Amino acid sequence: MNKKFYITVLIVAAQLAWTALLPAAEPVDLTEPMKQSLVYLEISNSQYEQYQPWKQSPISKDGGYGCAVGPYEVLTTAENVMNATFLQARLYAQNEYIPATIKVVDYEYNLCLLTLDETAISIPLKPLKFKEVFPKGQRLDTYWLSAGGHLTNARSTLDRAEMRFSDVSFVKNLQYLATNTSRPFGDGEVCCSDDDVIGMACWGTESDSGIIPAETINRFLSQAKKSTYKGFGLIGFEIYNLLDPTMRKHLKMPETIDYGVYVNTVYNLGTGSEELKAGDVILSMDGHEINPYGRYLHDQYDRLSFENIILQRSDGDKITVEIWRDGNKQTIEIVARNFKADEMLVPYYLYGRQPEYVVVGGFIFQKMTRDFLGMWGDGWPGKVPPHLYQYYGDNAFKPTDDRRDVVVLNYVLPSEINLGYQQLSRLVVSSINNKEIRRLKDLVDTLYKEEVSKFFVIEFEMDSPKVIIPRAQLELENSKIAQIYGIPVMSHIEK
Amino acid sequence: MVNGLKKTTESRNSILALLTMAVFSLCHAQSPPAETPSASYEKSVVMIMAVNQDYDYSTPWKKAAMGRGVGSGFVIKGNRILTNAHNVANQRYIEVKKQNLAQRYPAQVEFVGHGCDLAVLKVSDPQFFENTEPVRFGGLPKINSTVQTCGFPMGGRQVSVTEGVVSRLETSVYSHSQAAQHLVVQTDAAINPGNSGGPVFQDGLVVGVAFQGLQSGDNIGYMIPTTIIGHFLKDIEDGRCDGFGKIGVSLFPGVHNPFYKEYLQIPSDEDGVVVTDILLKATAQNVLKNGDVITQIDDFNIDNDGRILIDGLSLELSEAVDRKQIGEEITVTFYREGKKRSGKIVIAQNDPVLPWNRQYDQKPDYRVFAGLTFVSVTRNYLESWGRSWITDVPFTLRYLFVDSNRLNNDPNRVEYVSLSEVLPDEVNAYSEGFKGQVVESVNGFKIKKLADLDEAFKKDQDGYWIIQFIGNSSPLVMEAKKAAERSPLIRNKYQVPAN
Repeated sequence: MNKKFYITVLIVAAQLAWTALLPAAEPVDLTEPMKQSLVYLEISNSQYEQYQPWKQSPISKDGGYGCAVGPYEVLTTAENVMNATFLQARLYAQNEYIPATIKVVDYEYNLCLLTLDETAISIPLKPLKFKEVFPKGQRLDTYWLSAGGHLTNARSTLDRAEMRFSDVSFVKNLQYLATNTSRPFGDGEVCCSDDDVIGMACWGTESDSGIIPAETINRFLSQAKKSTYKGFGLIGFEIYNLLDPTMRKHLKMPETIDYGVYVNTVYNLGTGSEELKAGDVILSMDGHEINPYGRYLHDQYDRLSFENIILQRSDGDKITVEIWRDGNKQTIEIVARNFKADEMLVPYYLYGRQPEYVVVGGFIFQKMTRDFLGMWGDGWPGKVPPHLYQYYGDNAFKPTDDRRDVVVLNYVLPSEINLGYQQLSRLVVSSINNKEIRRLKDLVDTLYKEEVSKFFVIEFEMDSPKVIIPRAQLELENSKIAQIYGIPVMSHIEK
Repeated sequence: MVNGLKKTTESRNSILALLTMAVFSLCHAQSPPAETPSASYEKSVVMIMAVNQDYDYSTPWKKAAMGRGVGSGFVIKGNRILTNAHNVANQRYIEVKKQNLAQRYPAQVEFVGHGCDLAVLKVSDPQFFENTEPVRFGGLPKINSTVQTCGFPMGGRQVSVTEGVVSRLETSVYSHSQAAQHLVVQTDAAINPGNSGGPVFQDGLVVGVAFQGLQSGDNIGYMIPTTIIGHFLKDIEDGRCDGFGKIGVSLFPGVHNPFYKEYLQIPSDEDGVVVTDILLKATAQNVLKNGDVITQIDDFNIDNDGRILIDGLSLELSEAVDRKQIGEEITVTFYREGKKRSGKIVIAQNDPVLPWNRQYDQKPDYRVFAGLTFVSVTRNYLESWGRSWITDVPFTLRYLFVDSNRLNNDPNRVEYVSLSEVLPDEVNAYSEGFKGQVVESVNGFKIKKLADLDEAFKKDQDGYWIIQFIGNSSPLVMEAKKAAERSPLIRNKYQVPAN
């Protein structure tokens, strides 16, 4: 036994030695041609505080990378610019900063198109073309222009493609994963295989890094260069695996159909929200059979989540879907629908925009967002009072006409007018003067338009007292509170 | 040890505890001898050694590991011993002994009140009570008066006496139940593990039972005052422990705000608390309404902080309720729409459908169908998620625990039922993902208590068992015939006794 084993090892070793002796293909170095295409971005960031939404946090400066996609147009990741207050670019071997503005940003695709100030550039940039190839297992070279102005390069191996949550949105995106990276990728670095530019880096760790593939980038650019950006399809429902054969039998599915995934919940937003019903089984999309986990077989990438099919489609495109409904196979068309995070009941992100709030008589009312809930710190889903969390957990994608925003009394700035109420916090507003509050704007409308009652009576969900604010004293008290607590503007509501 | 408040039952294997005791004795020897608490304390204080064992709440036919504890107790009239409930909770075997004597006597729990952390033990052998003297009880001690704590801190053979002053009297959580709030007396006399259940003397009379300390503070110990002890002893006179009651309303303290007062039509010189919610089925339902302002409870005026002046102390208004037994009435005076009214509320348990207290000495019930194990949702079950259960339990359980009084509007609901475990078998191979969820219905029957499952599983829906869970539109589906066939095999394989 042992002897045989040694022999095997020797043979393998010999083969390895032989392979090593073969002349390797000369790696392509794109350092020179990249010099006119890569930019370094200096990004000034600031966010609004959730606890005092009239205040901006101190400004910080970060660096990011980008590449030319037009003579004066630069592509970078959305993550790089999410809290940007000011952007400027530096080009290779040029000292001046070139002001940049955001033309289109798509957080779901995690991509951003910037326009550089033409008047500030002496030589136009050389645009890169992204090539839609997937050289699995091949060596990748990644290039970027460093903060110090050097054109720098890292190596890695292209390992696989998969759908992953991006750090900036609620959707999963198609990403290529690179392993054996010589150093972690930074956002906006350009990834190449031989002469081909195949994607843009979007995250990196010591062991592996992620790449937004050329197909996503080209799709984004084709829309971004048009006058209006429509965006791409986002999922409007939630699936549950359909592994259990008993469940299939119960749904009266014949044994010949051993695929399909169960639709657990349908949202009020997004693709499928109007066409699908909870309890449907999705059998195929655009001719791709969907397996019980919700995956389909992709020509190049092997198994991928069905979400990729939807995410590739422009808003308004039609997708043919075979479903199993009420014991029958049916073919329906669903429309790819994009929506903005703002349309959610509890917006997933604001990114640099000011949170909506109203300060009235020292009571601070805010629109609930995911960032608002983030105030509870690490592990916030388990720490947020469950009555607040349920609007996010179960209902974030289910705004209704009766409830467009969740309006929360966050806390009270103590003052004479709110005596006795100063401990109130984290209450969901249900009505003001018997008028149901469907969005933060309703509260403001009532406060500033209605002129009959002596008091404003604000009611909350769950057990809490009514808040009584006297109309006559309010104006004076508001200006006093604004002055004492240093609030420059007493409300911010987006149009 | 729970939530910063430590219960003072000694765990015997702590070297640190022994060291602490050594230091403690030394200090004590150096300080001048205290005023003798009572000539008889040596004849009344006893040591209690109990073996306890809890249940496994997700598979309740199994029991958890066994534990041992040492605490203190004292002889009361009628040849009985008074001690803390937490000394004897979930007990399987109890021994008592007197100081400096080797002989141990088996003892039994006669009554236990887990909410007030008190228990009465009896000893079968009458010889035990020879040479003992029952204590006499005093009243509420004055602030800054001296008290002596007796007991067996960290075990030992001899009764230890420590002296301290009464720092304050306040309403506080009794950590044994984790939910009940009653009057406590705070003292700076050292109260250590093992002191629990020991008497606290003043002028030869017992004014409290030492029961918990504050882990984060120095020398902050708590005792159960005689108002609570008296309530417990009176409660058990009828041979049954009913515990303390509530009126079942949520109150907001108070009407500090003059505009709120005006809106509620309360005279400007009146203080009170606002009713913000009344528990479904609470005894206050036909007396009070949301928005009522309670200004008096019995003859006590309620101030805007929700406090009343009772025995010269400013205490939570719940103190007035705590002075009464379950079944007694209490009068509330309140304003509604500007008119002063009054009504009588019967004091009752008035718990929400998912009570917050931890249970003891109750064998948890369960049902097993085709390996699907169902239990009642209790705090004990939730605590099976471990130390940080409140953040780790599935969302629906957390939401129900925190807000069951508002979420449940079905007066017939007795409890919530959860799928606690799946005993793996081919018939339930795909059910694992439903673990920890709360049952809404089985085969079309709404499940309002664990026993409802018995009827629901006798039926089927077109040959299937269909289980719906709260907040999940995917059902758990099984073939009824196959499930029924596998059931006895699964029970046998996992040794689930019939219940």
